[in-house]
Amino acid sequence: MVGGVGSVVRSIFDAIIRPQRFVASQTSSYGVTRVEAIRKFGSIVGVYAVNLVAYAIPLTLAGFGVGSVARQPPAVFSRVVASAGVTPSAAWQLLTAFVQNSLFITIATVITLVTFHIGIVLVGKSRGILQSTHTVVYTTSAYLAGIFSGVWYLTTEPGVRGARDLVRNVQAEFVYLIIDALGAGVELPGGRPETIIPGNISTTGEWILALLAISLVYYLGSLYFGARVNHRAGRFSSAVAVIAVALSPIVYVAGSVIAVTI
Amino acid sequence: MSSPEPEINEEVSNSDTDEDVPAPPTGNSTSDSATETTVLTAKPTIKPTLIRLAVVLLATVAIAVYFRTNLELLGSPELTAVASLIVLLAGALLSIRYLVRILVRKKTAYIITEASVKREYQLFFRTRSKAVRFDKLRSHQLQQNRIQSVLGFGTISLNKGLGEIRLADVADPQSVYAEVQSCARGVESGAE
Repeated sequence: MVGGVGSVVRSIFDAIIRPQRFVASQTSSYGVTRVEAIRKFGSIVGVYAVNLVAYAIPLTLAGFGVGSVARQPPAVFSRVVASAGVTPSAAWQLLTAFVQNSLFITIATVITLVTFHIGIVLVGKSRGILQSTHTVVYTTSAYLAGIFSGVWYLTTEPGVRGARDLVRNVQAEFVYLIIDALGAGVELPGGRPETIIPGNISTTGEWILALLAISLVYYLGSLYFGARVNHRAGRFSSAVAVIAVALSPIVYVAGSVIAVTI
Repeated sequence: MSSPEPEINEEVSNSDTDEDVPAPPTGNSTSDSATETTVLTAKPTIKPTLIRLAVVLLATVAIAVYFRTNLELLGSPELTAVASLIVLLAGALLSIRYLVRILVRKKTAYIITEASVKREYQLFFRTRSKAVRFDKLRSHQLQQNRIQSVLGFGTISLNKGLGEIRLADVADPQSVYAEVQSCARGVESGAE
């Protein structure tokens, strides 16, 4: 138990102070045999699942994603849950909220993995999908989860309206930049922001924005280290892989705009 | 940022994870086994890291003060305050990183025996040891960046890309590197 706690503490320490060590994998033992590769893949997926649960459960229990209107659960689910003495409707609400809270970060993880690996393959430095999966799982579990948590906090907490408005305005302006570049006549529900910088930002809001920016730097930086360590890529090749990930929001938004206008 | 250091499985350090190993012998005493004689024991210097730490601290304070005295720099006082916070956080994290590196370097020893090169340190009641035997050595190189060249230190990399061991910030690196090369040649000629 002490060893387990020590391992968690060391992981947190490495994630903050030594990110290249945090994302480093045992590259020499990956893919030695197919059985070993499958075992390692299972281990990585297990790590991701544990981190996903650790991220999504507190959000769910705090009420994120839980609908105000009770939904009727499927009959099979009701029977199973009721036999354990749990109220089916409440359990179903929590389950659907948990799935919803997990879905956003899982989609972002998949997009990161695809774009990162494509970037590494394009520069001819790939040592295998396992190395990319290891890098992305650890990166998103720590830093992307931190970004999502920060954005959730801004979305729901009182006293940070200025910071919340700033983040929304930046996001909207980013989308409108792409809309204007494509010449599409698409409007967002909230319209084009009149100004990016809102009125006052509270001290708490300033701290959250600063932590979001630092998390973003860690997220991209750890992908860079992952390419350097796990794929043994050079500086330029690793930068290309990171740029591929950084460009993915542009590709996603552009694709969405085109899909809407077709 | 230093080069990354993935863990390796090696004959001398035979674990992927931390394990307790006996403390290293000090000085040029006879060895940890009947067949290995310690040829050289070296300790890394902390001077290059101290210089980096000083640069980071000065730059952080200078930039933060500049932001605080020019509040409209980024269009609004709030945005400038956020930028100042980002600089302070980044500076604090880098400083902690360099302080940890200094602490580890002060506890680190590089031990060259006739059969292997070992990097070992003890911290918080744990000993971490990493080694490569000369008969498993596939590459070695000596590097000096600008700060190291000026101060007379260097970094010796062994088996780069194959489970690397780095003897970082070594004083008189040419002599240490010559010992490594000599021992490697000795093992090669012994094998022939």
